[in-house]
Amino acid sequence: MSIIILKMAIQKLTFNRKPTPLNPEFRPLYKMCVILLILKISSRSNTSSLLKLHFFSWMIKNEERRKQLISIVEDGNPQLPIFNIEPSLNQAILFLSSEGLIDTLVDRFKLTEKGSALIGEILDDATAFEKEIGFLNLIGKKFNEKKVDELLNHLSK
Amino acid sequence: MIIIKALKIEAKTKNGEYGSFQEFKQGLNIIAANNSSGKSTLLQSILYSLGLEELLGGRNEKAMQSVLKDFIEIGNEMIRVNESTVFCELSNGQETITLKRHIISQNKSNKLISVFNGSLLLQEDGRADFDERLMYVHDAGSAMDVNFGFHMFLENFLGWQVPEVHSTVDDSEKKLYLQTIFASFIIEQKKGWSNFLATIPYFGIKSVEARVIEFILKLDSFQIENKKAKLKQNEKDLETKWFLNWEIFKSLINRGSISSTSIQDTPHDIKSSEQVTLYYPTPDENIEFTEYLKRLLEKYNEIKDIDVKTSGNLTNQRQNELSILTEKLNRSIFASDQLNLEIFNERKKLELLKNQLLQIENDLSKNESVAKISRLGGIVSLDIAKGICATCHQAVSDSLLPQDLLQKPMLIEDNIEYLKSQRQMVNAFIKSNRDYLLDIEDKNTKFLGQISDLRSEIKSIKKELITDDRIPSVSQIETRLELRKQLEFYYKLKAEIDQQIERIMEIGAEWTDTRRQLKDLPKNSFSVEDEKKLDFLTAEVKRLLNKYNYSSKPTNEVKISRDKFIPTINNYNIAFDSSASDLIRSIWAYTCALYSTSEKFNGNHPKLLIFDEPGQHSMSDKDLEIFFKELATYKCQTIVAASFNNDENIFKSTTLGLRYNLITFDGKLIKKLNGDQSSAVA
Repeated sequence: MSIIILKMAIQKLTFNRKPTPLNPEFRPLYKMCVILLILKISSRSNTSSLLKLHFFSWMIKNEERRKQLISIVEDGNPQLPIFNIEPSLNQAILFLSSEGLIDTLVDRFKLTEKGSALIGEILDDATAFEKEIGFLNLIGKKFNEKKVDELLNHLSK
Repeated sequence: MIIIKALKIEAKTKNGEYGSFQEFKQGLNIIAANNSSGKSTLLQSILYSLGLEELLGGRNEKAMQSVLKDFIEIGNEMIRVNESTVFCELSNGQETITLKRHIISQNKSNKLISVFNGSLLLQEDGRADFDERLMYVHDAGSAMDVNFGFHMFLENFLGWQVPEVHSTVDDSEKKLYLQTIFASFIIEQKKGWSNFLATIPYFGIKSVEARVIEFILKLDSFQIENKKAKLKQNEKDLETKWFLNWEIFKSLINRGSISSTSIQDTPHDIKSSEQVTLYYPTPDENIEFTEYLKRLLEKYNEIKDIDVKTSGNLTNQRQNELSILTEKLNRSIFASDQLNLEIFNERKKLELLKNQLLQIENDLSKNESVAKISRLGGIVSLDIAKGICATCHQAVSDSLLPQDLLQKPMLIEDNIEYLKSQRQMVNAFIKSNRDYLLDIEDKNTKFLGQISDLRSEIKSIKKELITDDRIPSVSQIETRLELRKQLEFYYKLKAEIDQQIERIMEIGAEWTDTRRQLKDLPKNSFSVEDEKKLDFLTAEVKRLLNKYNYSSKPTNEVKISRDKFIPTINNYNIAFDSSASDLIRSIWAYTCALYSTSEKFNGNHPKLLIFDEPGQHSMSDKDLEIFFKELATYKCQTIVAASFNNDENIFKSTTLGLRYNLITFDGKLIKKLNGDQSSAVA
């Protein structure tokens, strides 16, 4: 009986897909800004290889990893980190280059003027990306391409 | 106030000395010369001599034009500059000083500035013997060092009292650097026309634009904001202090197996020490600590004077007691074991929760960064920020995951809300978990105390049962000794605890006071006087925008934002929505309005305005004329460099009927000097 009433009451059923929360690492703007920051603060002449971007994007992710890289750079801690390649970073790079914020050189990515202007705005707002900027300022340009290559050679041994 | 009186540039080469000497007057000064003849070099040299070249985007000689550090071009010849120096004579209305700073020099650092205490260039009083003091710029302490820091000297010379602000770089209080303040009245040629206060160098000062304008207009909100920040810091410090002292208190009462719930781990007000109740817990009931001490004392007094019986007459009684005690002991051990297991589990749970909280905080700060950045002008214009792919102009989802994934990510604001509620939930879990943990740990301590008491009691009874029947009962003697020891211990402990409670109460009172002060501060930080000033500023900006023929937006909707104090329309910086030439007009209007507002309300504006090439983006000559007319009415010193499209006629028509001091040079600014200064005066 109750089933019949239920059937009468529900003529039509619709399902709406509810929005799901997303890890900020997968937010295009977050990843894009982080790449721009790496290019601006921690790359010689605002240019970096893909591998270095992957490495920095991996190390900037949380406090623990940030501390690890700082201790490598500052105290010469020889314990080299293992890092992963994330497809989402490549997607963010595609977005960046289609927006004209970075240029693709032969094997490097370079900040364009538009990208520089944008990063200027981010740096002006002292409250956004505080941790990321603080970390990159500490690292500066000390972890260069050569070090990333060394790390890769070490890991592939 | 500050008046630039004269500037002298010297450059030594193998062909002799080159340079320039220019005099400035109070009121409107117009530097009229053709493009790339040296107008900017002249203005930049003023900034350089004041150690403010960071406004140009560099430090030391890097900020300067090549003519002052590399080569001077004479015809086709390039002559290398060996040594170059800038002199600048300036006054604060009462005193005149002359500054000397090297740009490049073989043996002198260009971080040093010589300060002469008189008019060295114009020699107004015919004196030439001046004291020379060496000071430095751009080193740590230049802004703070009273004896040798040039900017500290300049601050005093201008009669300023520059406040301290919070720097996010190293989380400390720093002086609001002079470089940031000067950016509000010196508009440099390139970056200066790109936005309001665009040339403020990056020092990691939180909302630096707002701090600068607050200083220029002497807004009370500055002090209120500053006070608020200090009180907040104080509150935080007191909370830490409270927690540390609470831990000491906790360890003190734990030493005596006492428990108390009157003091929490976060600060609260304790009116009197009587509010703090201490309990001595036994498994059956909680006795108030003072009551327990009293009972202990009574018990001791009771047995103190009784004759000690020999153990023989007590055997039966002792055996009974023994079996009861053993039973009790076993039960306690079992209960304690159970509790230990539970404590272990709860601790693990707490650790997991804490990790989860850390993760949430991390995600939250990342999301908030993105949300903040998306509000900026530049990002808004990105296609991706609108959910459109820049390559194919199709809609894309706001995610870096494969686009064909059937998932709809939350809007960033919703995501932040979601994370915040998650954080709240986890925090609640952690709190209840911690409370429970404290509770069972407390219980466990009680059991452990009981176990050790029971053991020693059993031991002494057993000992007595196997000793000679005729000697005095050991257990009775021991009980007596034990009681006395306990009493002594508890009296000493009580004194320590009372002292600690006193300390905690002091912190609590201070904390409540800080909280009250925080609450008493006005909510929106603006005093009545502030509102008056800001209203006047708004009116001035509107008036000038209309006067300068600003047309991108209806000017009656212009407001001065309450966070950055820049002109906005519908809460957006008007720079973002204005045409290129209207942006220039709004910068004219804002810079002038700041001066007139400070003038009316006696603010900190130094009564100096410098504009390098205000005729950007082919502003019409008519507009420029209006601008000059406005400037000519000001009672301050204004210095404007303009090329007038390299046309003598435009210059004449634009400045017709104005009173001004003309600074001009045939050909290039830097010329061969004859050794005689006066011949170089324009």
